[in-house]
Amino acid sequence: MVFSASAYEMADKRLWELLAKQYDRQITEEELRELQLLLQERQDTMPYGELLSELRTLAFRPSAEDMSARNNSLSSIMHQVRGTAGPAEEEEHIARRAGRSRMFAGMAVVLVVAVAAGIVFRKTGKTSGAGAEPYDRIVTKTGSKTLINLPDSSTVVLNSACQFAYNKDFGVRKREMKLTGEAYFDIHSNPDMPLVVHAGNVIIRVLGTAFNVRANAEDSFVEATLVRGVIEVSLRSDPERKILLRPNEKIVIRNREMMAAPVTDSAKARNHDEVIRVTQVEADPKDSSYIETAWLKEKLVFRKESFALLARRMERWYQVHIVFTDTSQQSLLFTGSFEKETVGEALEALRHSAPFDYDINGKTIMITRSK
Amino acid sequence: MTKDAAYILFERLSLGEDEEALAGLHHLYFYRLYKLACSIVGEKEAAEEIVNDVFLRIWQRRPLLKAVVNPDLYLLKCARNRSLEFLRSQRSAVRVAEDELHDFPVQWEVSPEQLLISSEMVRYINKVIDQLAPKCKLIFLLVKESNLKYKEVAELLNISVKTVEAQMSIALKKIGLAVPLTFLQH
Repeated sequence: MVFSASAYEMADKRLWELLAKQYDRQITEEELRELQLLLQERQDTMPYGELLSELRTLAFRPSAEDMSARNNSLSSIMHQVRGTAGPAEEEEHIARRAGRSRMFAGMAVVLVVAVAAGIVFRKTGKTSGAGAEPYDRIVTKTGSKTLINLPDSSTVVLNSACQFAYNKDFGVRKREMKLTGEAYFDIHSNPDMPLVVHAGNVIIRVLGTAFNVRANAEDSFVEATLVRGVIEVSLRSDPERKILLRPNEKIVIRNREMMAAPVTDSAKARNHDEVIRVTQVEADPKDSSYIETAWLKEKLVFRKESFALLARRMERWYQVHIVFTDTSQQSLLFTGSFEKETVGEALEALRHSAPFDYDINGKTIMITRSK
Repeated sequence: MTKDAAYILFERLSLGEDEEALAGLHHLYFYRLYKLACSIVGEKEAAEEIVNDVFLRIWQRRPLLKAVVNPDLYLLKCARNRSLEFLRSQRSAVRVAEDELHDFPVQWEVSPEQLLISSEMVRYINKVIDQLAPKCKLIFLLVKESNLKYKEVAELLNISVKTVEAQMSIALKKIGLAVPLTFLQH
């Protein structure tokens, strides 16, 4: 018995050695035959070889900390590179913080990541007018994401084409932010100084929490999804009416200022009276991620979304301009996600599930009725 | 796939001051270089600076990039060298000894084309990988993420191919044994 146990161990060790060689694709024919023999001798039915080759397709998943390290790193590199390579492409006021590096002592780190911009930022909506109050403003370009570390150790990740501002003495006297666009907030808890986010006609009061806000000027609504903690949502026009949002809840508020806009999310267009709606959101059981925050991981995810809305998001995502020649296409509904697809592949995939034609001409894409 | 993209970006950089190409390379390589640096120096902040330094040097030497045969290995070696320099500046005379590698967290997720591995299994696999010895974990990460051959990993870490093979067989065995367990639960 002792002998057979150790023989089994030896065979087992050899099996995994050979599987490791196979994984490197450096296995010789002779070794491959040996491997097949060993696999046959084993009494279990596990498809080891297939399983291991599937391991190759596992994708690396960066943690939030990894992502913030990457964003910091990219900002810092781009800032230094621009310092040596000509005029900076930064826009408006840019937040700076002191260098914390040992290797590059004294260097300032720019937090605005401005990677190549395809089209000029489309400013379609007006930002809430707070007049003379001193705010630090940050504008992100199309196709870039920006991580902002705030003095109170809160972080905000801005999706592309955002306008974001926070009061200059942030965390000293008060914590106020303004947002047009989409952002993910991870707010440091401070019961003495609640944080207030103004997004379109919506006011969100926060104690300490993580949540996602989508308030694009060209969209007809403001959307907030709560991941952690509690937020209190109210309307600028009706500040007395307060709605408490709990984790896994999403609130969608029609943006009154934009009501006249021709493009509306078709699902909501059917309910004209519904101004505020709270729904439950579900984290993906696979990786406990939310569809609403998928953009943090560089994915464009959409579920039963109108083509009109999806096109707006694709414009920001792919830095293109999408034009509908026929409004009937705008109400098509799509579900899916894009990650590494090019805009052409994405459109091709959409076309497989609904009838339309498209024509790509440089950065402009025309959507037409299918012939 | 990544390799082709890297070639193109290297070529673009060698042709001029192409910031977009630099950002593209950063996008492709940051996590790998960062994890490698983390495991050598054992400090996240220092690792981040090391990676920044790698990209800045790449930028400064961009006319030379056209001659690079294997961008993956080139960048990883740069990160390794910077990391060792950093350690040397911290204390005197450091060698790349495997047992000096530090632990670092790493997680994986399923991609849509996976047929056999469910998200339940991935959770299990992540647990198993996280418990691997730092050296084993780093080797697995380098092989998985960079499409490096064992030979190249050995060169990078200054260890023998046999060692890489042995470490990979340990990693694969632990993963392979964990997976059936989760299978049986279904």
